[in-house]
Amino acid sequence: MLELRYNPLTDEWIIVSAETQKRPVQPSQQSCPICVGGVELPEEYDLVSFENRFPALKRNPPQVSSESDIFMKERSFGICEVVVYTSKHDVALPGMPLRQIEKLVEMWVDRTVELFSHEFVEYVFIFENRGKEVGASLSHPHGQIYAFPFLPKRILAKVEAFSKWHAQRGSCPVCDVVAEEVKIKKRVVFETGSFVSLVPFYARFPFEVHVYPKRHVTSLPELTSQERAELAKHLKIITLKYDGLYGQEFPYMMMFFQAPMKRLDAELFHLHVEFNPPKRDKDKIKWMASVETGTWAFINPMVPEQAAEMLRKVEVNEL
Amino acid sequence: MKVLDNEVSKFFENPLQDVGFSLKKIDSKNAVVVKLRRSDEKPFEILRCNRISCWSFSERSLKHVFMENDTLVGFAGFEEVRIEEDAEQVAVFAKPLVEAFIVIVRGPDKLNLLKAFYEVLWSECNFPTKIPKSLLMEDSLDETLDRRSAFLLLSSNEEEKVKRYLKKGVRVAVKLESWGELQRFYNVGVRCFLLNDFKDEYRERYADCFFILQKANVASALARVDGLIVTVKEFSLEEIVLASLVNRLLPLYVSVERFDSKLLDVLGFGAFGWRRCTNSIFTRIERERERIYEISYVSESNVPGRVWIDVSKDSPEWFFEQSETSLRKQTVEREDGRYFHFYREGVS
Repeated sequence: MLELRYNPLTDEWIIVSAETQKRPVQPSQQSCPICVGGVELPEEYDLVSFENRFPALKRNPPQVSSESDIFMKERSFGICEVVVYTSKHDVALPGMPLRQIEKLVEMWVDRTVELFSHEFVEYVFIFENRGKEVGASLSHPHGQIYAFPFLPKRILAKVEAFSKWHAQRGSCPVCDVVAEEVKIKKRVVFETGSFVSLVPFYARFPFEVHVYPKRHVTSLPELTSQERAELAKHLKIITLKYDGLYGQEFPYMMMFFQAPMKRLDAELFHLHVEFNPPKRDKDKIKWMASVETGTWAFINPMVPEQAAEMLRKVEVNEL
Repeated sequence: MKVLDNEVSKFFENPLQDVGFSLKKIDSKNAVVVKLRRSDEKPFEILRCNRISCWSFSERSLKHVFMENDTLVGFAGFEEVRIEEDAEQVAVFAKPLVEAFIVIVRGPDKLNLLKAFYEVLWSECNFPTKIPKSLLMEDSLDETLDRRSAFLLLSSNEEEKVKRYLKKGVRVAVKLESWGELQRFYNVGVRCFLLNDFKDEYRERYADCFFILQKANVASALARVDGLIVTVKEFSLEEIVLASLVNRLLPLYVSVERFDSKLLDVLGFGAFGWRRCTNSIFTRIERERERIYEISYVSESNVPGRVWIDVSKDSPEWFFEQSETSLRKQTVEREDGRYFHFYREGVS
């Protein structure tokens, strides 16, 4: 079964996909489906993005019909891709050569352009789940892209917040935050000419980091080659600092927020990357439990300024 | 300016008494939407303005917005649009289709007023966005044809040719002489049609088709069809930039006349006889300073670029990013129909 079901209690679409149940969980390197010679990628490769064998959304989804005008369904149009960062099984983003991450950014740019060109795609969401704590099913370094046929609820909330801020102040909230943060420095973790990585004033997770371009750009393709290279550097530095924090592989959810380019108010949006790591200490997890899941209200047990200081102090020199 | 026989300033008063139509204020855009329903009456006067102080597009089919000082009045969802001009005044007469909208926006400059107008149509009147496509002539058809974004344009007296190309997997657009021909070409697999007239009931019956209108006003075509063929022969550079704002809601199909296809491409015009290359949803237009517009876009090789339009000069000034992407892509379709995109270093 593959379909969208409408929830009138929250005004949102739910993706029902029995296919995703079949995804493998943490197979060994010998049976890794995305290593060279694996079931998905028998040929040699450097980087590759391919349509998921167990997708939540498909370019040719099955026909559906609503049960009634209360229980409404839609076809699950969309594309779910698996993005393989490298053919090497035993590295992760922090251990990859900087040049490989630069190529990865280039690949994300191309995927964004191509996926947005489909009539049925409304939003392109790039993400990585690292570690079993956040549900990663393969340990081979990879991320995913979901090309949605609708605007997911939290993206819509962000779009509306950008629009409200612009209507009230005539500016962009990220531009305003960046201007202030680079002045006061206390939440900044790493800064270059075109980007700043910081623990936001409004962090929801203990060691949450946001990566903001200093220039107002709405999407990855708008970044210049210099900016793309700098973004790659930030991704490497932040993930290295995460691993250095407790001397262990640090799980995270890495998410790219680009504008919903087909909306006429897309130009108000400011591209950014969010790292949401679930750990609150070396052996403790900050769970997405009832309050967070049920209300979208977060209780952060770590003061953002303290988290920023801890991350700043982690020395990294592998570039 | 007068709208429906009322001074425009009255529409921002609260409340406007005894008007006989529905009004919605959108404070965040400093706009008012007037909604009218279909009536069996003859076309009536929807707008009257001073000819000297009022600005509109020079091309008749694009006269769907009128600006005076800090106010724009634009309309959509009307048929039988008639514009009467004398030495002093311009008057617009039209008849509402099923649902018609007059949008009044106040703001600082022409570009912002137009952006606000189309955003209101999109967000408040639920007008969907569109992606422009290429209508190619037979002599420009080659193996690089993007089957997703281009159609081969043929006429309705070339039925055998239509069938031959469809068999080869080429998407064909047919220019119809009459509505009677539509069903016949639909039955053989054509899904894009050029027409002189459009009937709303066909949208439901031919839900999977693209309809491109000729010889109509934007106000009649918006939210009903997928494109409108216009001529830009007499346009100034500024008019081209401003007219391009409509493209997200209704691609304007233009042939390459006095403007180069690269400029029309980045501005998101529908291509009539030339090939679209860029993905225009990444294009942004800003007014850099008085008389200068900056257009930022993403090229076909994923590299950002900028073009400056100084409206006092006749040619645009292009700025390119120096380096090209260093990745080469190869797309492979597996037996189960899934696409795999392989990326390696090397110039594409």
